[in-house]
Amino acid sequence: MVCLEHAMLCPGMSGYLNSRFDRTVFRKLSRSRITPLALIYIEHFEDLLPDMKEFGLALFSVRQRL
Amino acid sequence: MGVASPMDKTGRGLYWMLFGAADKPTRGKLGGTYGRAFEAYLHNRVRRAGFALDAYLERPLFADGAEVCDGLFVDGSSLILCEYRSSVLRADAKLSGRLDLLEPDICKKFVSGGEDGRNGIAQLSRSIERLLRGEAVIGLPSRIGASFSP
Repeated sequence: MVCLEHAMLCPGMSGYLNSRFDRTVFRKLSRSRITPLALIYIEHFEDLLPDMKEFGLALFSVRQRL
Repeated sequence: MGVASPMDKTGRGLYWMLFGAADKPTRGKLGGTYGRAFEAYLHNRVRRAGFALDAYLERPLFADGAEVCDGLFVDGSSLILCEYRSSVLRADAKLSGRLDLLEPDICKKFVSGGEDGRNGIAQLSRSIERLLRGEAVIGLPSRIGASFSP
């Protein structure tokens, strides 16, 4: 989720939003891997785009885990 | 955004400047218009970064016309579903220290959506569920064993 509200980057917000993103329902439907929800500020998204293009979308998953 | 970006950082913010200058009927439509401009700007940034038409879908749709998400990155069998949220939290909600004001505002703007329909996390969840059930997306080849990143 790309947001324009900088306050959404405060500590704990990602955990709160993921607590509202229930992935257990997906496991019942498919064995596909569903990653946790990532919240990103617009400027960070813009910074990330060239790297996503250069190195592929796996980079996004790696950064999520950092 | 050009001139708008420094104006946004040095002033009250572009949205509130426009809001203050608009008449009452225009104010009612400003949020939606601002959201569409935000979305169009991000689509443009993605294209300028060099993503091809089949590597990034703008506002992809299911066969019945329902929107999947605002932007969809495709890399082999992996998908990243993007929601672009231009909503900002109300000042009294984020600065008063009152959780009873803050949580409903976050829920309305980022989790469940307001009266105008489902958006944010609720839309992503619904769309992932439909993708997992095998529903086709216009312009997207069918895929098996895909991974999804919201």
